[in-house]
Amino acid sequence: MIGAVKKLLVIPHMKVHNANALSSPFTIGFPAMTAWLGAVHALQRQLNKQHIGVAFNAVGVISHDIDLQTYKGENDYVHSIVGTGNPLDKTGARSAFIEEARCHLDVSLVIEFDNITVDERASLVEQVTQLLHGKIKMASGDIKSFNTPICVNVTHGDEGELKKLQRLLMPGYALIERRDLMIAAMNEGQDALQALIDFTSVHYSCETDDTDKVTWFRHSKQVNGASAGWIVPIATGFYGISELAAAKNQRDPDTPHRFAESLVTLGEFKMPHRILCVEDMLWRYHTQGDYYLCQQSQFATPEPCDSGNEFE
Amino acid sequence: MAKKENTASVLAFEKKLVTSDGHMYGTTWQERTTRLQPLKLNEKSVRGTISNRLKAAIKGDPAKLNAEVEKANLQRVDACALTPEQDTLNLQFTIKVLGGITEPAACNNDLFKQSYRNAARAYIETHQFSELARRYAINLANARFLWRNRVGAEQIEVQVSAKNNQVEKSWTFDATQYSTKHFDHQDEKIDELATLIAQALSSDNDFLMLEINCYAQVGRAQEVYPSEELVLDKGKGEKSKILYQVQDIAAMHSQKLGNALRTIDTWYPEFTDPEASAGPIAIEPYGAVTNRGKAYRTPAEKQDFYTFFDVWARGEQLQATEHEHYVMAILVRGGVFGESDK
Repeated sequence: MIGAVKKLLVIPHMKVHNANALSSPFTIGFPAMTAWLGAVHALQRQLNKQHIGVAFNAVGVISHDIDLQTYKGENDYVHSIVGTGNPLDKTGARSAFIEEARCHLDVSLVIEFDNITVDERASLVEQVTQLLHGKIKMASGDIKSFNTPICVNVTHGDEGELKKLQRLLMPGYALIERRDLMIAAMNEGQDALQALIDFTSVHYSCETDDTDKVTWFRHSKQVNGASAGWIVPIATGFYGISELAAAKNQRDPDTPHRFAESLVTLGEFKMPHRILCVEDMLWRYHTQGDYYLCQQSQFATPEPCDSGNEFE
Repeated sequence: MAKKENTASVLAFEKKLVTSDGHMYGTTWQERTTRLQPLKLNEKSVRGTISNRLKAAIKGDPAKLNAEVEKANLQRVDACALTPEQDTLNLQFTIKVLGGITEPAACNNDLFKQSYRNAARAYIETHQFSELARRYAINLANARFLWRNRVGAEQIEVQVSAKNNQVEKSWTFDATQYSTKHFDHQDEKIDELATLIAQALSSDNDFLMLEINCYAQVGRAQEVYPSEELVLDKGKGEKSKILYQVQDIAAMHSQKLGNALRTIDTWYPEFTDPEASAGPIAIEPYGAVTNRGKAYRTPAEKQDFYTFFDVWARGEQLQATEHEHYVMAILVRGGVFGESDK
């Protein structure tokens, strides 16, 4: 593995407007991993159509800023979603409000590519720029602007090249999969949803000392006596719950339809400068049986889990 | 009923005029290009009066009325105003004009897609989007996108710059010279801008980036109006009006700017009726005007988008060219237009 060169296309500081923040039926926040890999795959297809035979194999997502469209008043206990007013219906009556969580993002993408020569890179960058401006959306959001994409090579084990890439992505947070936390918690017999909530909840408690002075403490779950990092629930894929079949009014008439549930696990936002090799921030497609999954290579061979279903 | 062969139950179009949020800055008219300060939202707490209609029982009894009116009507709202030194509002936003209107974003019927594509190509060949583009350009020049901030402004200057691979151009408009009531302006600058917008709209996958920088002299320390946020069940929070801000800068929603930009519909039946007319209205499938609570294009009168689109996209001619302009303007706006296949 040492000496293996990764060819990376970096799209720095893409400003995305009104992206879909409803990543799974029960979480809102950073858009689902499937959205990012899907958009990059769409980009590849458009490029292939224009006779640039590039293959995008893996994607890393670095969040520089997320502005989730929610509102919390001073004494409110929960955040509420900031909605959009929709046009009147045909009778002139107000149409129903549909709650849709949106967010504005500033993200950088790191795309591992292959199948093109060094000479073709200039035209790749040019076409990618054109497509991002004119055609591609990200997580249903509009791309407002981005810095010029660049191609970089990072050799495995080469500190200097890695540092160069990391500098490009700082300050920011790479989204890293932390399924290991889920697996560990579930091996201890915890229910999946309980494990998820356990890692993301923040507890407040107070103590009163002899002089009636109240001290408040804030704590979240720790791993091996230290903070587990910035842990968030993320949606990473789908699990098929019906057979392949034709459904009424399906989006694409030529491809069989399948009902699916989203898979939610834990992720961590980690500063890129703490990442030891590029592969640690890249996500790849993985399909197996009923699973359609975006995952990181540390999970490439799923570890056995007592409940028999480590994803949910 | 028998199933129709060319019915698309899934049909969607992406918007082709992609507006960003509008960010608000304060400045003075003299130094408008050099000194800009981001406008911030202020919270106001006021003791309001009871001014709503009262029940007959309370209205008729002076003692009860007094008791009612004496109650403090406390309100907390967001507000935004220029500072005492500033007399000019600066609004900045961008618009991306996209091509590729002949391809729906989603369509699950090949027959329909084919007939739609032919209809759209025919429109582009005959009209090259010149009428729509001219109206969009005039809506930039007349600064309709300022909404309430436009009212009573002494001077308004709109700077538009257009950019893509081949073009880099800019224009300055005096918005007070352009009416918001009609689109009859003939003007070289408008024509130039409109030509570029039309080129992008007619293209297959080209784009045009427009940067809009608008200055409106509204008066020292005057209040300005960012968008109001739509927060439904916001809990017990005391604030009754929440305004929009992006990174601590007062802002207007992209949707609101987009609505002003596509306020080009002068083709609805009541437009020529001086009593009932609402002036140009925004392009909407049912001609909806929210602040009037009225739909100006109802299916009952067969003037709505779906009535036109269903025949037009299947290859038939519409009665008037205006109807075609209207249909294409809806597709530029984008939306989900699938129909039941029953």
